[in-house]
Amino acid sequence: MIVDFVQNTLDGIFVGSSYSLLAIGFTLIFGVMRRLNLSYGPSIMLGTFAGTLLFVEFEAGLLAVAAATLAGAVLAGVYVERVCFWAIRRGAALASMVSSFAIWMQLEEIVTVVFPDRTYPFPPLADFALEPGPFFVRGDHLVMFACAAAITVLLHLLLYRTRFGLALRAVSRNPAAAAFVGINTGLVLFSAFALASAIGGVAGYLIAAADQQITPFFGLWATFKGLIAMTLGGMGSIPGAIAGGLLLGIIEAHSGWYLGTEYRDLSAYAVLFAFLVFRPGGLFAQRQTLRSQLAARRV
Amino acid sequence: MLEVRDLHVSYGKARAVQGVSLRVGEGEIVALIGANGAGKSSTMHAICGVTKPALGAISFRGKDITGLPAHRVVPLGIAQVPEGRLIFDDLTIEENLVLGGITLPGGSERQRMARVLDLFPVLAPRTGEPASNLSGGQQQLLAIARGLMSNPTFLMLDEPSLGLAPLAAQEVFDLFVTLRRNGVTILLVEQNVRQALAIADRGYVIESGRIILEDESARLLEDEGLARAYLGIERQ
Repeated sequence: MIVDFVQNTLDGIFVGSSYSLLAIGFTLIFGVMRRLNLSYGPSIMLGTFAGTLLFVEFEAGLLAVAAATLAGAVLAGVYVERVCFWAIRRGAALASMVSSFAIWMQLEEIVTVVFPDRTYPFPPLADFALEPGPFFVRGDHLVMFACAAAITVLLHLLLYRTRFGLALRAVSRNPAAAAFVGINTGLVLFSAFALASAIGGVAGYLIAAADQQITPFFGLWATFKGLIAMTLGGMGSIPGAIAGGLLLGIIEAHSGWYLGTEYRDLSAYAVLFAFLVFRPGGLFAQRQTLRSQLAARRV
Repeated sequence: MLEVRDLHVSYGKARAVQGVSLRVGEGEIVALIGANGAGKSSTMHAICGVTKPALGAISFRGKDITGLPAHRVVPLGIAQVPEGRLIFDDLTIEENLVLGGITLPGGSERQRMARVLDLFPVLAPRTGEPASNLSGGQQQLLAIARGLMSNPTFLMLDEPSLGLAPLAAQEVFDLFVTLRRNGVTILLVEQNVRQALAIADRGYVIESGRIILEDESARLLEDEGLARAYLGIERQ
């Protein structure tokens, strides 16, 4: 009993760490732009197909596949930034979201034309497994968790220890003031987007390597997982993205085990629904959200 | 030092500035006077590159800077302290100051910050606190201090005394005189016309996006029409 519970929680944390990475990418873009990029998952999916192309056609090694996945995700992400965000930076935020949906369809179409089969193989990352006591830990899950932890630490250092990080935080808090002090806000937004895409690329690589296969639907899946994890944690909050990702992973693992796999996604949606009703700001609700909630209650 | 010729600024169909020309000489304090919506802020925004002018030319020390974005204008030695403070209120005071000098290389940052904090003794012991802890008047001081972090030779201040108690406002005006003595040229927009003209060398009066009057401060203070329009009727 207790062994199952701990095992499920562990599995949830490991898988959830990849959700955390997806949510960090989402939240980074949302935090600086206050705009939602629906095309985030599909641009990661494009990256994984770049990786699989090298693997299938040229039998490329692990590092080359990882590099191609990352490069593909960043290129696709930057393309989305130019078309959906930079081009309509003065328009309504909704316009960016809708056009990012259009680009999603476009990216998916490109991939299905170039790769007509349903699924493609992806090279595995690590074939070992650990068995501490009664528990079982997959090697690729361990690597996934380690990468997620390392990226979180690096991102924190970047945001809080460098001038670029300070400029990024300034743009996200007060874009008008940031322009007055002479920050090149366009460049900062572009860099934030590229950074988020790179993090997404790592997440995409780790997930695809753990699944050892990919499909064009991976884009939809990644956008869903990232969005849900971000919303659970609190939109725009990086600690929230981490917590939300882990929480989502744990919920899925437990509900899959106790209720059956057909209830996995349903349980995740139920928890999301509960959050939206009872704590719409998420676990790490931003002060602003809480304040406007309080104000609404007073009225 | 700064020359603006026939400047036009529009926001969509609204024409905020319609042919402003002005000149600020090295070491001067120049006041820009006018009612709300007359085009004072828009003129400043066009100079510092936050807004793109529709027409006209701006030159700084003989270099054409028309339409240059703010991130290329600030390093030239132009800084603007925007109206309404616009500080980063959940960042610390120190982070706000660092951001003020973000266009300059980081190496000289400590030195610049020490020099700026010398001018603002109330901020110096509180650099680690979030800016939102400061009172309104202190936040205004922080906005000015932040503007000085980029080592400007030309400083534009948009309503620096807005919301300040009379004593605090006087301190701020005294500070501008000190800055001028240190070699900073100043363009000042103020509601508090009498106090602004008291420290300014010259003033421009702007109405509906156009300059309607330009003179030395002393003469503007004497001007009957100006007195009635901007200085209040308490004047004899």
